[in-house]
Amino acid sequence: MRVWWVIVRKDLTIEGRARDLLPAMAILVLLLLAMTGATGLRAESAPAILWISVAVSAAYGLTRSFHQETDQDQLHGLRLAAVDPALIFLGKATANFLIVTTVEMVALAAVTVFFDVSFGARIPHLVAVLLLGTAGLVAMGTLLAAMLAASRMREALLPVLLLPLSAPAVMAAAGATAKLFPPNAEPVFGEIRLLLAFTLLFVAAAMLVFEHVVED
Amino acid sequence: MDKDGESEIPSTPRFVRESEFAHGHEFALELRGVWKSYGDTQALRDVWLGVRRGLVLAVLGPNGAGKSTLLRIAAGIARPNRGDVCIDGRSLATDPSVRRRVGFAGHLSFLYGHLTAEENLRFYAQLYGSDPERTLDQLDRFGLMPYRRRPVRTLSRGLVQRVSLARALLHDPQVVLLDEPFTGLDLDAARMFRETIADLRAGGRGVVMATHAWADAQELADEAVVLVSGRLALQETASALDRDRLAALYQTV
Repeated sequence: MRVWWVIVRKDLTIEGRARDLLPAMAILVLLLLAMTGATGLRAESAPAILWISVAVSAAYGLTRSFHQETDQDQLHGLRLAAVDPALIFLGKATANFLIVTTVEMVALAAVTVFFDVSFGARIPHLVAVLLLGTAGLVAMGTLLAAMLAASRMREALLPVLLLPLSAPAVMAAAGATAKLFPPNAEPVFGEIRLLLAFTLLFVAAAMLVFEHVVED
Repeated sequence: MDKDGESEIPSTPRFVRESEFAHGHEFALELRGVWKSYGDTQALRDVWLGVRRGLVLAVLGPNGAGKSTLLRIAAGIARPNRGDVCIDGRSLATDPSVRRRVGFAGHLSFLYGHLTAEENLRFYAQLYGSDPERTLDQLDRFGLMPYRRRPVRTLSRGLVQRVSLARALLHDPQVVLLDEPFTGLDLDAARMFRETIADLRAGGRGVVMATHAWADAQELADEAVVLVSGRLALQETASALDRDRLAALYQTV
């Protein structure tokens, strides 16, 4: 697992220096939320708009995150070191998860402003839903980004593939978030279990097939 | 030429015949009947090759002959359609971890532009489980200490190649694969690379060097093979390599 952490730290260091993902993703999510908020949509729409914004922003960011592993064939450098492909996937996905989660925090703060909602009850449930929904989205997105890394059409293809394929996780997360947004504050144990199952399924499937994805 | 290129390629005496592989332990690297295609393009055809320890093998050939593909398959980062690759007598197909015994410096550096030279080497040292102190030794060995804190993307091409070679040798590999190692190097760096290749040979490593340059092969290699359209078309000791014959082979493409 040390290798996993080495890859995570490397990705975060690069993002810290390049700053080409987080600011762009945060601006994109803020714009989406500001525009939809300005149309006077009611607070009930906020969970769906929050998740759509996060998914669109993640699709944009994930495309670029894998570019750093292909522009100098670094992915094969990792393979040459006989690093377990599943650990490469986990390392990349963890770094992506941390970046998307940071953007999500920005988005959540923006939702309170643009849609005039506040959170008080069931914060742990909301945190669980956000983290699990993001994990499912990122697991699928990281796998697709690796598959499309060599494609010249990757910027166009990733959103087209990611948004429908991650729909089960994103829709479940949006539904659960709606139940937690005021004036609702219902427990969402069932939704959390469903999201956990989606996420585990996505992560396990991606770890299994990742070796074939990075094979030349 | 026909689609497979079979008709005009000289018949290939196998550099290392199958029977010789009965004593496979002599070889640091063996390619056994390797075929590789990309779509309709046949990149390698039935390549048999053995690289003994302490010897440098030059792989020559025109553009598109399959030199880079051969090295990538030997490194285990591309998989052959048919055939097998063995490192120190162990098959890559059955034991992929053996690729850790290979050092590979290709056209692309495997380096991260936003990390410094030192950070790149430390990253790879951690992946290989190498002693982190070797990172500084390698930087020093390749004259990179003054540049070690600079992001790789700000270094010149020659310096990047030095960092790439330092990365390839960081884990003290038994087999070293170099793809066009002298391209873009200044005289000092080229001398450093030549000395490194000589050191690797003296240290009993098997070295394979793909090159266009007949003179480099003559100077540095013990043995040479010529690839034409993915097939081994010539085998020689490097000193016996004849420039005219090489030119004639290139013109068959």
